[in-house]
Amino acid sequence: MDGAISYNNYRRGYNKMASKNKKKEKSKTKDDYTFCSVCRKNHNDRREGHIFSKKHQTELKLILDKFNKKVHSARCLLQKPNIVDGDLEPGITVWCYSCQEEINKHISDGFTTVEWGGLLEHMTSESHHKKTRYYCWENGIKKSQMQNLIIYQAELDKFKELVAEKLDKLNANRNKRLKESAKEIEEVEEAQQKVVAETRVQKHFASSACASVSDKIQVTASKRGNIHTGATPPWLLNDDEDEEEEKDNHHGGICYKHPIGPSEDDFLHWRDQHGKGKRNPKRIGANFHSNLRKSGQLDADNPKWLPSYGGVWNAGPRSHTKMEFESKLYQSSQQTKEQTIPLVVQPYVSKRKRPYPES
Amino acid sequence: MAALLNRLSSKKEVDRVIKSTEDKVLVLRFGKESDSTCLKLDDILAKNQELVSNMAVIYTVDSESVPVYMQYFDIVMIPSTVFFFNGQHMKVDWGTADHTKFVGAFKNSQDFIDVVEVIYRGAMKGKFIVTSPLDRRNVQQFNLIYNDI
Repeated sequence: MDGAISYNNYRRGYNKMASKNKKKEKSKTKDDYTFCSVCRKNHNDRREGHIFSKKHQTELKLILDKFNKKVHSARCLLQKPNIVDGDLEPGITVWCYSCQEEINKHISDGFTTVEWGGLLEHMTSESHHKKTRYYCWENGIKKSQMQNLIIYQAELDKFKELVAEKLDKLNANRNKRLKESAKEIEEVEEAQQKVVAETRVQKHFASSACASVSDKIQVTASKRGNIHTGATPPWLLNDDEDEEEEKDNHHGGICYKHPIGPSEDDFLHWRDQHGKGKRNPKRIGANFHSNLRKSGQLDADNPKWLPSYGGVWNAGPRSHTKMEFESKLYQSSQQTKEQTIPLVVQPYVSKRKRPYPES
Repeated sequence: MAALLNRLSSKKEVDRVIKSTEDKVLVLRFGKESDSTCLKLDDILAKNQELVSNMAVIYTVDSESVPVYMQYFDIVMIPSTVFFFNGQHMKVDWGTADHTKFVGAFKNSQDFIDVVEVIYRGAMKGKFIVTSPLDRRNVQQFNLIYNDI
């Protein structure tokens, strides 16, 4: 019997549990869940309850830090826009967290690119303002932080003016460069044509005089002719003219007008310093050589120079040894009269073994 | 043996060597080539010069050619060996009264190599004074006689 009662009680309890669960299931319908784009999670908490949760706050901080970095670098260019030649980072996009869409990072027409222009323009748009305000409310972002994510029209207008100015300057520069290079090309062409005409005339004369053409051309070739004038190639010329100029730049038997790369001394110094990074910076005399080099004493001959030395009898800093020695030297040089001091020689007794002086 | 070692004959040369030796132990042997103990020491130095070349450079100095340094380093007994590292004098506790120099010849090559290694390691760790690795019985014992100190 006992077993039956307990079974009934159990059944009753089970039924109660089942009815409770049903109620809960009813209350949790699909509509009650909201998706948090920051946590990427569906939840049925109240908004206030969710946005102050630890997880949401940390996620939000990560996102804001990431986005603020980009916004900061874009904002830095508001005052002085950067315009680059060519298409900078083609097709690169930036994710706008509040609008949930990808936007172009730069503005480019294929020839010139305004750096961060895309993001700046997007941040000024009305839809971005609206969505950002909603996003900030939804996720509990402070107003002060929200201001950072928005750019006002006035700021953008100023930016556009600056961009226009800079573009004009760039174009002017480009035209100037083009003209210069065109001029150079024209000059070279003119010179070439002249040379070609001269050689034709020479050839004509040579053939009529039955002389060897190449000799004539070589004679008429200017001091520094080129391949068209048939000049002696530079590798066959004597170096007499240039020798004096290049005398200063002799380097291991090869002459360079402007030696390429670092000099031998620079390289040797670099090689010496290269392995030093791993050495203990607190080793004895770590700065000794750099200090000497700075003060210019490394190679200088100073007859009075003495190294640091901890004297036999000296207690205290080593510099005292040097100072005492120098003062002794000075005294001995001052005393021209040699005094004969009677030498009393005693064995050395360590300080500990010495008897106490009677006081 | 001294012919195999680099010799310095003036204060200027000693100065230059002390200034220019970088991150290596500088071994300066003060002595006379005519002295027999000195010859023994020179023999050990010359034989091990190549072995310790990564840690040390060795020079011999004639004791009569640099009176200033003889006075400055208080050298009264030859041969005396003084150690430097990056222009700084290195003291070694030999168990004798004088920590500033090694007096006499090393007993064998290994003793010298050990000393150089201990000094090099100590200096690299920033120590101005190191303890000698030698057996006290192999170090010449002496008393210092002082006057007017």
